[in-house]
Amino acid sequence: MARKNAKAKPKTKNRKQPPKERVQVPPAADAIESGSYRAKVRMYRQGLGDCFLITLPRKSGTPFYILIDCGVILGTSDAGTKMKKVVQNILDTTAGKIDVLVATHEHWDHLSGFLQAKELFQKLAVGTVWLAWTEDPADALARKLKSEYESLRLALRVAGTQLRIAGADTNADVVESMLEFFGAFGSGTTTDALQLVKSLSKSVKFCHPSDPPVELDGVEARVYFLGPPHDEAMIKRFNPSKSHPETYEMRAAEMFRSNMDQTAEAFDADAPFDAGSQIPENVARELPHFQNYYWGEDEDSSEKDQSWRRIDTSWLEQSEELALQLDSATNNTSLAMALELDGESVLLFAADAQVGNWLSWQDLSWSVDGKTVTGPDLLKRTILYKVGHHGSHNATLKEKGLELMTALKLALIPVDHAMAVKKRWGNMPLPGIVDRLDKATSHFVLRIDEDVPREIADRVNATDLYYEVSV
Amino acid sequence: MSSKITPSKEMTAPAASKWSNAIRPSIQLPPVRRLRVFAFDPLLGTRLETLGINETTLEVRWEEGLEPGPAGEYIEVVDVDPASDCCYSPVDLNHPSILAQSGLSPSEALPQFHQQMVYGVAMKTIDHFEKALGRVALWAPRLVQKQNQFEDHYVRRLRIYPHALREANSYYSPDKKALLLGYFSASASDPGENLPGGMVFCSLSHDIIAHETTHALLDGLHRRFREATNPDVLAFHEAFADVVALFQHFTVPEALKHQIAKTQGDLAKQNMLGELAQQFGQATGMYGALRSAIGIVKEGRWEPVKPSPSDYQNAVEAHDRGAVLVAAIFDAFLSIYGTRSADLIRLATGGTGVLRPGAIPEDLVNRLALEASKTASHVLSICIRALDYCPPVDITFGEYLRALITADKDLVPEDKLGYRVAFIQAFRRRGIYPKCVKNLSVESLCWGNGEVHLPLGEILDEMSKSWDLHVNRSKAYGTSKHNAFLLHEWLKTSKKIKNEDTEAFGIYRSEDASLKVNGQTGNLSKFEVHSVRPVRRIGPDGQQLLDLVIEITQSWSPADQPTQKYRGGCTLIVNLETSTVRHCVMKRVGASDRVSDQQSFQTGLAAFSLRQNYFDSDASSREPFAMLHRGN
Repeated sequence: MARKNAKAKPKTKNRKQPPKERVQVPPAADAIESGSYRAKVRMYRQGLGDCFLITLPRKSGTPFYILIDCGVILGTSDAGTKMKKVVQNILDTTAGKIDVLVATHEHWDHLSGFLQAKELFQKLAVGTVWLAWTEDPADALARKLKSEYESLRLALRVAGTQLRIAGADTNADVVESMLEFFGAFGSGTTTDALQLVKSLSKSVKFCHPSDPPVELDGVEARVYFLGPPHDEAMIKRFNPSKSHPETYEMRAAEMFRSNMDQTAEAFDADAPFDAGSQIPENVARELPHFQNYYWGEDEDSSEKDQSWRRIDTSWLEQSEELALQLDSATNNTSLAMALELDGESVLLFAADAQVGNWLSWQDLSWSVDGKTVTGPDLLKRTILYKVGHHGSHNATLKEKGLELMTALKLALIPVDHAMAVKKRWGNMPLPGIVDRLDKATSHFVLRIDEDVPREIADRVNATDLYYEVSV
Repeated sequence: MSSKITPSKEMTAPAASKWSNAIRPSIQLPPVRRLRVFAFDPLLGTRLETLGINETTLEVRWEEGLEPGPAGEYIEVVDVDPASDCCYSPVDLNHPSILAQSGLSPSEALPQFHQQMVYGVAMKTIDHFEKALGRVALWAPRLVQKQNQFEDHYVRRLRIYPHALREANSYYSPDKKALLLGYFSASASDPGENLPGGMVFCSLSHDIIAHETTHALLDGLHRRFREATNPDVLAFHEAFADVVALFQHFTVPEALKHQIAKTQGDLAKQNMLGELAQQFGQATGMYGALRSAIGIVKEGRWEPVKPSPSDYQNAVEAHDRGAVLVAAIFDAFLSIYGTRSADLIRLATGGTGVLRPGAIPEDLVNRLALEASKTASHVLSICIRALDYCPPVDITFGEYLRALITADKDLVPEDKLGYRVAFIQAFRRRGIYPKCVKNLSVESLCWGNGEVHLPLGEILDEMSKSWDLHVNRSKAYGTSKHNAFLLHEWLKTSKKIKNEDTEAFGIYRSEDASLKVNGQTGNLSKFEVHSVRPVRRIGPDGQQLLDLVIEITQSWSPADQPTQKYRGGCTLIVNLETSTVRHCVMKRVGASDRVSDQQSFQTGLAAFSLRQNYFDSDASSREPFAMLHRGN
């Protein structure tokens, strides 16, 4: 009997099951059907990476389109094909013309598509390109950070190779997986991708939190730039609580970079002692003292072997921490934006902003139509949040972030946990963050690697290529 | 040379033996080796005010047969510098020219002096430990995996690499049984009093060497104290290492007198004795010492820190929480020093107790310095001795307070100068309270005997108890292991012991290993006897007695996470005369509150590391102290 009943029922697709009970219906719930919406946000499902297309209705007819980032993590299988599909869909949807293209920061999982689907992008007409001030060659601090990051990257590449050769694979793995965020060495890097982004339009705007909000042409919406802060200490701040807040991270990087530069050359400027005190390693190996206590057999122990006590690569192990710091420092250069609809609801695109970037929003304020709008105001009015850094530990602030978003209805996480696990990043997304988001939105959390939750199935236009929500 | 005083072949054998002593009179070995070192770190030599106290001479025990390195019984200094692709020739402290001038003269530019300094300071630190504990110190054994089992291997010497790292960091590596010390260039923008970009060596910082050596000594005594099972454990490791480094300042007479004179004897004012690693702190842009027990630098200004009962609760990060313990112990020291020197101040002020402004007389400086160094030496000994009275796993600061009080009461039955009350007060002021005590009196804080009844007499007789300051260290290691083996077999097999008897001190010996905790099914491991070692005590009649410390541990793992361990165990202090348990320090294995505390601590977000942005496995725990010291 039961079987017959089941057959009689019309088959519904898993993803589009109508909810049994509507828990909480936000104002524009049936927007897709009715065609009336304030904004549509399309989150592409290319894998672990960000690509968002925002559609804003315009009275004049053709909607206003914003594309934020276009990338997928290095190591994704068949990444080229996937990204081409995405970009083809963008071309089809927008009839080949978008108003604003945003590249939030210099990481492969946000930029790869610009190279992988280069030909398609060249067919796209782009009104304006928005980049963070950290990409502005005319900005002195931007130049300083760029050259620092660049040389640290090169130093880490050398260190990673040395660690690998010495068999210190655990350390080498971390260093290399952080460096992969800058693309594959030799075949295409984030620098190339940014170059291409800049070439897509004659108008390139370097955005700054002190800029007045941008009124979007013909649309009841404006964009506030929240970050990155124009402050080196904040860019290099990743730690929410620390005993010496006046110091900042990456101090160690300075010396490390110069070390790695030197090791290739004959003269080592960072050597701690005069050449007169130095016994070259190959000579020292022959001396009885260093045989007994380092390279040879240990007389004191029964096992003779003393390789477990050697420290050949210990000094390079700091590169693991430095690689993680470089990663966070780059994430902190993210162009974070608040898109305000009807002067009320806010869609928050945090890119991969880390602690320092988030904290700087607290002190922001703008004067709009004679009224003062502050950073915390915008957080308070946030209804949709593009979750920072694929839902990781440090990219969604608690007290000065999520807890302020009291109007939050929907969270979008561009994450592919299976891929993250393949990279051994088991903490991406961090279960604790997902739980908190789930509570804050009453289960309205959309992840590209999971089915649409039943509660919001009617509000999501779901395909294999993207999820699209209307607000 | 020597052939001239060797009897010639013609001399008859009886004659040679008759006058042998006259011909070659026996020469007594020197009791100590004198070695010059920087008193704190080279920074003092750059200030006119402290130039005179830049150097001091350590008296280190004489090690017969000390090899170049130096490499002796406890330590081997190996000076390889992989970052520079070179090595530095080992210093021979027995070279007549070096012996004749109390070691090499302090110099930043001479690697051999660095070797001498790390050896000297590390040996001094070991000395303090051995004197306080009354037995030779052992390093943690090396664990070697053989098939599915771990074997303990005896490690004779701690290795010290004075120039191992090119970074502002130093650490003790439990895997390598080695100290890795770093060097780095001082910050170019905020170098403090250092030369901008100038080279700074951890191997020249008295504090850093003492701190890292203490990590190794503590690990030798309690190897489970590097498992972060609650927020106090790693903090304890750090704090304890800082305490030992701090109180070693008071063994440098020149600096001590200088600072007593500078502060008019009030050591709560800013002074170098209460601050750690000045050069390191300044060179890394911290505008002051790396850490201070008495003050804090705010916007470039030093201010004293006032204790508050919320200090302990509010400090979450390991260094911050450790600082609370250091401050508490230093506070106890200041109170005791105040009591001990009150009469001197009264004498010097005609009874008012208020010193006139300006310099104090040199006689008073000398007497105050004597009191300060005596107090420091007592407090340091008390802190070290307490280690024998700690639980073997999962230590908390509150338990350490109980260990301090019990250990001191066992050694000094009558507390005329109020040392113990000074400790209790200092801990209370910072909100450090032990759990499950009725009140904060000395009597309630002392560990009880836990109603443990074991027929220990029959097994104690079989054990060797000859582990003191004179025994061969490798023999002491062997004896301790053998004793542990005997005790384990006896606890496991003796028919006189009932299962309830061991459960009284939190250990399960029954065959059935399953145990349910908080509704979770799981299994117990077999219990282990971790350590058996002697400890001195002064009996009621003032006579010195020997007790035995026994540490037993056991772990519980949930059935669905067999690799996750929740450890428990106990420390028993046994009266050897009566074969009864005097003190029982118990952390019951599988105790439901501890299991849930450990779960919430380890899954909590309180611990911060950039690794967590991506990785869930904590591979960095391979060098647990390296990350702690990188400090981000």
